[in-house]
Amino acid sequence: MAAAAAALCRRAYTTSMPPSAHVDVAIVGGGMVGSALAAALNANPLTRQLRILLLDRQPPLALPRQVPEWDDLCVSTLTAPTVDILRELGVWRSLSVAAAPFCDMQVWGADDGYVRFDATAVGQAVMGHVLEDSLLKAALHDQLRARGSTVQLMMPATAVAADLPPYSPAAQLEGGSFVRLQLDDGSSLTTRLLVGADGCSSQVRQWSQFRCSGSEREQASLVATVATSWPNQTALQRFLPTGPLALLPARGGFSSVVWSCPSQMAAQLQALPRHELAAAITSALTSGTHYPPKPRLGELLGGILASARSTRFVAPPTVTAVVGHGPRTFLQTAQHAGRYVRPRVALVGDAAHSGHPFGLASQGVNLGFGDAKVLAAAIADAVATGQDIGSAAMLERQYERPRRQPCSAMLSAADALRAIYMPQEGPVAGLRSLGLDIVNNTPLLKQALLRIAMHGL
Amino acid sequence: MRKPLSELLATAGRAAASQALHSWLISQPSVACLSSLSRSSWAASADFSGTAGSTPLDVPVLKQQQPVPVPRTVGGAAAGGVLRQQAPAPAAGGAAARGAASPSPAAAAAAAPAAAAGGHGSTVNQQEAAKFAALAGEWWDPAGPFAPLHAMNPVRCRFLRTALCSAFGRDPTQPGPLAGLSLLDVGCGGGLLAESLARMGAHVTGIDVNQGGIATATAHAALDPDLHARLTYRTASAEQLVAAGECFDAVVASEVVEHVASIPAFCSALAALARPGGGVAISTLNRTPRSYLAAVLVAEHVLRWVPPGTHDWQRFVTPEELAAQMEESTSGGGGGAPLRLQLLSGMQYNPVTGAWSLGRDTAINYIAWFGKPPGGGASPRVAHG
Repeated sequence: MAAAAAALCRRAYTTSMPPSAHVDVAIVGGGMVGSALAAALNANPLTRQLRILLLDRQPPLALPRQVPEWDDLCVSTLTAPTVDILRELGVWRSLSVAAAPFCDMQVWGADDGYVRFDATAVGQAVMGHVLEDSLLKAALHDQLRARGSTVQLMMPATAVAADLPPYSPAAQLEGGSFVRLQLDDGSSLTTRLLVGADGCSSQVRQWSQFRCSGSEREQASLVATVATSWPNQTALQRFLPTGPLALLPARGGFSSVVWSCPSQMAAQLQALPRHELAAAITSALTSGTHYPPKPRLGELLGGILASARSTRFVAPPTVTAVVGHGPRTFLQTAQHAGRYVRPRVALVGDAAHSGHPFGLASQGVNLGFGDAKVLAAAIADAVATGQDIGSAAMLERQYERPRRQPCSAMLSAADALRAIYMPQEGPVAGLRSLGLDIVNNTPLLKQALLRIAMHGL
Repeated sequence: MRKPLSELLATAGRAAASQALHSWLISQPSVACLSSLSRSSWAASADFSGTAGSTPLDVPVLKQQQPVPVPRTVGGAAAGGVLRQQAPAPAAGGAAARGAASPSPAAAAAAAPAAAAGGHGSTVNQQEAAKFAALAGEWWDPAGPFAPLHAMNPVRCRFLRTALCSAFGRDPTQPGPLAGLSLLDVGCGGGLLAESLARMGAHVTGIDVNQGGIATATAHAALDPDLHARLTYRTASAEQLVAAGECFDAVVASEVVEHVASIPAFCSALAALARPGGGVAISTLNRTPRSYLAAVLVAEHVLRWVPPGTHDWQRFVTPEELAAQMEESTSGGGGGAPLRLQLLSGMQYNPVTGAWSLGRDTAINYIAWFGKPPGGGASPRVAHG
């Protein structure tokens, strides 16, 4: 026990509270979602007195004094509720200068038919922000190391094994009821609640023996920062038979490319020289359709249904160069854990539901922020009413139940998009175009979809 | 707008017919006294989230001139038999109450605790320890026979937190707002409520005449080093503590009143155990047509969650009767200042989600806080049935 305490002391970046071998909340994974959860717990007076520990394999990041010229490669599209959460946590002020807002979005397929969304249609000025993950993470880490934070950072540190309490309360009486976490340096600690925020290949999920649905689709995504023939202000997303390709407005007039495709194709693309990759992106964005694609039947319907404003197709810009760090590829796995909680364990973010390649570009983190918010509120409520913060019943009622529905709905929506866009030929393609035309010319339907895209379900 | 409670009781107190009127009154926001009472408690319940800084209580203190005797509860008030025979224990009775039914049959105090108790608290032999371990599993299994209690627990804790913070001038937005208070949990069972109150900072003494519950509670408290020091469990009845002259900042009797034989005797015991300036919290089932439907017909006869006969609907007590009884129990017995109803809230069970919530509808389950005025009657007195 003393060894564990000593180890904690050595590793901890913030030790405003005495290091201890027993904590209330141990969060494994100091990524965006795990850090946001720690920050949310620290921001609430009810939960701030809890002993909170944040573990990650990597050392914490710090916000650079000057915003880098180019985006780091990994970007996320932040919806309004996520921005609200970041504002509440006090990190948005330092991030807003680096985030690129966009007001409209255009979605189209490999052939004719498109939908164009405008934030003003639902009375909003901004539809979302594009921000790189590393800056967001750094801002949260800075917040956790700021004065007044009681969160203990153990970064870098690795949890190698966990002893989880059994489900049965009778068995807990025998074997103790806390989680024992084994660290790579041989020390161990006990925690009242273990939170798995360790991404799609979550260790905590494995320890918990949760079933996981979703298949490996051999899908990867290629990310790159590009310069375009004119500054792109619209979130463009084209659903190709190989997967969606998104061109998202980024800071300084650049754009971020997120191209989901089979992993073999992604590797080939990554190997291309930069100018050829730029040409490949341009051709993938523009080829195969007559520009601008004419909504034929849809236009007719549009005339009948309503006069739709700002529904005209905007041709995507030409990608002139790949800038910044070289392009990178990531494997994408679509997974949904069968359970999010068990006694003294909760999963958040990608550990519970990882990004679907056919989802809207880089939206997965918004679900994760939603998880962090709801779990932090559940813990605060448990503290307020004197409940055990690791109680399975509390976690299930207050966290899992409210989160499962929106998460599975989002994943199903992504699955549906995949089903719609996978076939390349035949009558399905015609129906698809017609469907998109109808959506594009039906303001009410469009607004409903837009609200879902902007605020989640 | 506010009429004295007695006026209302005078009209509403006429036995069977009054029940319909009562539930109608509860449901009418504009009707005088009761509605102002439920409105303010409802307003308070809206503030239970604990985020607001202001004190949520604008508590109407009820005036009561003519105490209304509680009907049909005189049965078993013989010497020493103050309390009705204990309801079936969970192990014997199979599944205990669920849903809107009173979830705590074993929590009731029994007639002759000392005779059955034999050894007190910690001195439990090995065989019995094994039996208690099995029972402990039941008590603390959120999906077990006490599932309704688990589901209800956060809600009654939310109410108690607000009531106690207001009574003792604590800040409900802070963690551990009950620090330093000494609470008595009468009929603590496996310690569900006692542990929660201890987690809010209070020093809690849990008493129950069911020795199994006490052993369970003791074993479970030992699991949590943070709580261990603030929890004491004893096999005892409220009357025994009164006889010993003990006194607490606040006394809590949750889901117990409907199981006792003599409500007047039980209420005076609770009142005697609370110090002046403190108070008594009681949660129980109302006596309305809806509670008959939910707790007796549905829970016992239709769904068979509890053995038929677990609940005697006629023993259920309405908030007005309880208020009158609490007031009478002190002033009538001589000595201390009367306890007054200060906060009342309904507890609603949603059969679809299985979740409980606080609200203004007190027709089935409700929870109430009775404040004991400071000064006067400082010395605890012995209550006799």
